[in-house]
Amino acid sequence: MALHKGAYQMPIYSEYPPHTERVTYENFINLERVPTASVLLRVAYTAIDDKGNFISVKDPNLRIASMAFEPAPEYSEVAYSTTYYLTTGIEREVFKIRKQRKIDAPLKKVLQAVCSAPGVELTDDKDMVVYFAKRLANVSSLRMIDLCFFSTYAPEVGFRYNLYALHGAVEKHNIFSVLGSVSPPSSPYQDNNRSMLAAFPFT
Amino acid sequence: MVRHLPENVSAVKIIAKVINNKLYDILHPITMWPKIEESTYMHQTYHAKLELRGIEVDLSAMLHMTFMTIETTTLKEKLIGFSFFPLFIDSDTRMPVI
Repeated sequence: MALHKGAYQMPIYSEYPPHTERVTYENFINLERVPTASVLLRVAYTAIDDKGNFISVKDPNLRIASMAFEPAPEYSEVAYSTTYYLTTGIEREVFKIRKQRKIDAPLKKVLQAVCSAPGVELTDDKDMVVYFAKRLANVSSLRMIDLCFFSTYAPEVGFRYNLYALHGAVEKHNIFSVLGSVSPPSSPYQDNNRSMLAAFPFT
Repeated sequence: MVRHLPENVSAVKIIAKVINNKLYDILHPITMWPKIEESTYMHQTYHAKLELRGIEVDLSAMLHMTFMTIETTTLKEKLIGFSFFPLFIDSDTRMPVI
């Protein structure tokens, strides 16, 4: 047996393995994944100092503690094994589309938007983490994130909708037309103070 | 680092622990938060290190991570999912110990 050392890209699963007497890696590989999402991790033997002593990130001496952490390689250096993370063709297409849409934003901007929604104005990073820590303190009964949510709204791209069915349309030979109305909030169109949390009611 | 997260996440809290194949905790959970200045909401960086030292580690040990967030569309606390990593491999087969 050996330590499974190295750098790996692992999937994030949206379901938990069935409860059996013995749970092993084989129970995970066929679970449903969160599309596109992954986590990068590294496994290595413990760090040692110049004298061969084990050192820890918990060392009270900050200089020694910093020596115990090896900076992560850039993802673009292809340092992470993807043995356990095999993307589908659709996911690779989503990567390309997201890159074109340029929708990713600084985390701080999103956190400020989330905090300000209930009227909490925070700018300091530590205060925001405290706010989130309080909100996420009770983790025993969390519901799953909405994985049907497709994307944030980008005004330059617009949107489309599909009509799947008409219910109660008994006159099958008639021609039907469907009127829909979207009530867009103004915030996505503003150059300044654009809300990242805007929702589009559709009727 | 977590990459290519769904578009309705905010800060992602990770609870990491080490479990054995009976799902018992070998190492108590630790909590990780992203480095806000270095992260985007879809790619979050942690610089966190979990150390196993001075404890008896089962060969079936696995790293177990739980990911959770405040969903930006509903502003509710939500679970994103789980990840697992087998910490030992069979030296001959190079496959995870099961």
